[in-house]
Amino acid sequence: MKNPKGYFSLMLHAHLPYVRHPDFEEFLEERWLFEAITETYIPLIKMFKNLERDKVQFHLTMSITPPLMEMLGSDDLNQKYSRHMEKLIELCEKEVVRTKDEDLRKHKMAKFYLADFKETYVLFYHDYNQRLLDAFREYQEKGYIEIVTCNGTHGFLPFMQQYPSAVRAQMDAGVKTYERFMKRSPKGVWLAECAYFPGAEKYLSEYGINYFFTDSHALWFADEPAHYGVYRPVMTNEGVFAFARDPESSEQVWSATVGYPGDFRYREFYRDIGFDREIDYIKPYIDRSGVRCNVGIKYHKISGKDIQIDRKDYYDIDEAKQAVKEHATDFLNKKIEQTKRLYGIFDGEVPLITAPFDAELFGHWWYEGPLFLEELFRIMDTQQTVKPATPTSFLGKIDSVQVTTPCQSTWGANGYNEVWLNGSNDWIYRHLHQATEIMVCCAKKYEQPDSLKRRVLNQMARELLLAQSSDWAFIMTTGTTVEYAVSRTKNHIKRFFDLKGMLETDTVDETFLKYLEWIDKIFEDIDFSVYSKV
Amino acid sequence: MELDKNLIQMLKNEEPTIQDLRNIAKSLGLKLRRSMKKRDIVKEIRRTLSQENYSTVTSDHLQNNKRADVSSGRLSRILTKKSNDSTELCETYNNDRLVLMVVNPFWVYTYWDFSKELSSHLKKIPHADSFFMRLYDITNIIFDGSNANRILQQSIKIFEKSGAYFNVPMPDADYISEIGYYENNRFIAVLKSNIVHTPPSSPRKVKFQKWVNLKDKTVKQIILDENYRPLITVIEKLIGPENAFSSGSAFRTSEISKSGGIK
Repeated sequence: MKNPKGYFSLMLHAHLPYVRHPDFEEFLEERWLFEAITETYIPLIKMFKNLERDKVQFHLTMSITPPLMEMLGSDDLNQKYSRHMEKLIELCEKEVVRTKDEDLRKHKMAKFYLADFKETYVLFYHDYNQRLLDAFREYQEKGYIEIVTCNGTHGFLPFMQQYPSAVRAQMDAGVKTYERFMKRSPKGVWLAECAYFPGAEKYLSEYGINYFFTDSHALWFADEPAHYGVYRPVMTNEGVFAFARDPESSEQVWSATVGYPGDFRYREFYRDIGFDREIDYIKPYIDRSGVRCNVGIKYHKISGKDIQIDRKDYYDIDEAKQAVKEHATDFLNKKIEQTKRLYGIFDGEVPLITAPFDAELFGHWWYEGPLFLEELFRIMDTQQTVKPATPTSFLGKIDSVQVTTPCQSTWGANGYNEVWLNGSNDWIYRHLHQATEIMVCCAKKYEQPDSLKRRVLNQMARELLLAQSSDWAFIMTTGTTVEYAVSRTKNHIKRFFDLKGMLETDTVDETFLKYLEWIDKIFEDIDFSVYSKV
Repeated sequence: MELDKNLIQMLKNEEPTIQDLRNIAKSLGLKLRRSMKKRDIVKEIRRTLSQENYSTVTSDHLQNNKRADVSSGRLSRILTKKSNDSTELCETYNNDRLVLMVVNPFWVYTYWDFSKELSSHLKKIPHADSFFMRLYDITNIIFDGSNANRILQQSIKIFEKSGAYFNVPMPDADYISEIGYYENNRFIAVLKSNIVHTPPSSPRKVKFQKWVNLKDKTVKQIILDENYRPLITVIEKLIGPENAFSSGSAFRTSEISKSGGIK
């Protein structure tokens, strides 16, 4: 067998903010998790199973962030998800009956969804006993995928760099949570929002992290620009490797104009029976408030450019599968052509094409995305030019690497910090910085607290970490569900200061403390003293 | 008790189910008997709310009552969808603080806060409306207060706002800021910020490269030819009106804009 001329490293960043409201039987924003499980996480697991069954060699990297791990490991959310799926299956059964008298294509899809949801439910409830992380761990242990961690609560690290212990606390939570669920230490990390600042590698090195990812310009504008551009990793002075995003792969999948997900044969995201069916019929399956939301049953395809949402044609899964085949073939051909081109330029050195995406793009947003990935790995296995790799496996194949420091960068709009710092969200930082300073002071002051005060200090750390989630600033920028993001920020900050007040006045209200430990239950093994380390 | 009254009013308006009420009670740490009726649970919640020792727990919940009349949701949504004006955070921490943050290669953001002492002192200064924000370019120097490469200055109303954005002249540069005023033509700084480094916006010209052999860990430094260029000629993104949110975050942006789905 000939050596390949290059490698393709797919990186799926799976993340949702910590949204768990155990004090409510149903909560609209908890559907974010349910939708992602049904449409992305389980389809990916199904893909792993199919490829393994058919003996296809596939390799990819996934980050499963600590908040997502905590949610996927939460008993109450898993019970809620089971109930959610039971109701969805009930609705789908009604749809199968109802669509008999409607268009045949709708009826075909209703039957398809019913079978698919039932399969999903069986995989979730019976095969993995409501523990989906076990499935991901299984495929990591089998050597197909490499799971990396992410910093703590997906906090935006560049805005913490003046507080080393805050960065360290984020890393500490990221590594500990990974170890608790994955039963081993992480080799790599996805820095939240792909946000790197020079010096971050020092903290990664402290936690035994071997590599991280950056956006393309991190290497283009590095201290010494990368000789091979983004197509080979570089090593930082701390010995931690950086893998940068290939802009071509991103464009081919992402682009609103030429990207695959916009093909007319694919499923239309915005037509959902949660909005289309009459309210009396759909009410038991949407939010309890009566506010309509997506339920995940969709009968329409994109249909064409500039076609109004109410004039979309019916979707056909078999037609979409044909598009998947065409797109996977096209993408592979582009990767082969790109690999050959780079191999030629590199004078025999093998290039690595790093392609990071939000995992939820595949399945949730682009419904056929997991089918595309499965097909891509199948056909990639039949040729020799470009082969799948993970960062770790690629590092094992190369002899030398350039040493440089990447530049400050993110994968947000225009490549820097403006998504997380603008007129809509700048007000949060004075509070986050103040809370951070107080956390550091308290951690230094209370070196040997009694058990009650230790619980208060640990809960303060949880509240601060939760407030630091980059998701809140992001949502404020995008202008949707802003009220929720604002309230989450304020509530965590307020809870932090309430706890600090109790600590200072030596009047710990244990009922209140218990309440917060229940509501904001993330990171059971947290140790506030990480904030006291210099 | 006013808050209590609000809650009861809301309970009337919203017609919560018994399960809603049980959830509220649970969030307040109440234990209910299975046989309790709606009226009994309301009574129990009311009694609890009037107790001093629950004041902190309930404050979040109760403040949301203000939203009851404008929300279309049922009780559970109202109680948890905490409104912007409910859990208000303090406007000042009474700290003397000037913080500089990087937005991108060309913009920085700065926010400030004053202690009561400094604030009252500043208000007593004659011509106190003439405060200035200064930005010093201190790239490649050890700043001693007088050796900045460049000094940029703008008058600023420090008591009317608490933060501002400034355009900086150079990417890949170090900046520090100060707030101060003039006295006898002399600039008196009252707050000094942290130092920030703005990111580069273009490739650097360098004279050498460092490589490490991963097998034997030897390090090699290569002197570069004057005409050296990296092997890949990068096609950089041209920033314009068409490409806002065109990278990793785009998925989430477009999605939440319509669906209320994931993020």
